[in-house]
Amino acid sequence: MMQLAPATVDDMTEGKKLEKLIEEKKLNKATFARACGVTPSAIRNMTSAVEWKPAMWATIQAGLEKLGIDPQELRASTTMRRDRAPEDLRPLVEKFPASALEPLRKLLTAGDLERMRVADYLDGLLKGTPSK
Amino acid sequence: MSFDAFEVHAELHAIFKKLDYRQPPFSTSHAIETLFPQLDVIGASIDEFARIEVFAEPLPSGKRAIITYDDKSAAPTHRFSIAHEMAHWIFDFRCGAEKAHVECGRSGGKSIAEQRADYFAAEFCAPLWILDQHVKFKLHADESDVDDMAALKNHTQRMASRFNVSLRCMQMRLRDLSHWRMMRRGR
Repeated sequence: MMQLAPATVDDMTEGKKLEKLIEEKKLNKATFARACGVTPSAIRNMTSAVEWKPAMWATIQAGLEKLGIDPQELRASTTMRRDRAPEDLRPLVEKFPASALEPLRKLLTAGDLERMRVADYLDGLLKGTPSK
Repeated sequence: MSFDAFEVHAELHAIFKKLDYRQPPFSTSHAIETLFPQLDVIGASIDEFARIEVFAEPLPSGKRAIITYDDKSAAPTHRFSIAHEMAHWIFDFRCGAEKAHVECGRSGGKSIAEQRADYFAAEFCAPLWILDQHVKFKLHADESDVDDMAALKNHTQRMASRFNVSLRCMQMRLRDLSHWRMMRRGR
């Protein structure tokens, strides 16, 4: 009787490869689901898929990166992008009076946290309910 | 440093011959399905115009690369973007023989690979030697003549529709055609 060779990683579906990686990294599916920002049932769909659609692969990549795992362990790939030209925001500066330019520079060069607080405050002003 | 335009034209001529492309518009999807079946093309909501992800090993479906284009853009923009990514597959990944893109230098703001991909896409969507046969109007308008300017814009728009490219792309191609005609006349 002919004996089947044991399945190698190359023979596995992409879903099985993910399942194996989760096991190897001693994670559980709930942790991985949280990292991906999806429900555990979405993880079941990922692990049962033969091949991931690009949107699913993007979610998996983001989850793995959050957990400090290199997505190349699952799909070794190289990506090249056709970027849009960045929007030229310089004309917006002309809307500020000369006296506001120095404070504007201070806002632009502030740290992430300070800028986030300013953005929240600005959102509040625009909605008419300024936050503290 | 620049790319080899002859190499790009040789590839384009081979593609056009195999697909018997003579009259516009020139379908990118037909070219990929027929000549590059290892490529998958999908539309998605992404922040860039397009991207190509090339895998070191084939996916279970046998595909070696996925081109993703921004489905929020207009169809003529998709076509240019897909042709641009097709160029990366042909020249930078040698149709899958190269597993990773090898940087081939930079000239000005864009890498040589990006410039070559733009050149290929422009020549695929609106090849000058075919555009030349369709353009019977004069390529320069008198800027002080409103009617002349309006007529040129109408002609350009009609040509853009015929080749199914964006108006901006056709404006650039007509500028290139003007240079090309001057060079042919030895000026």
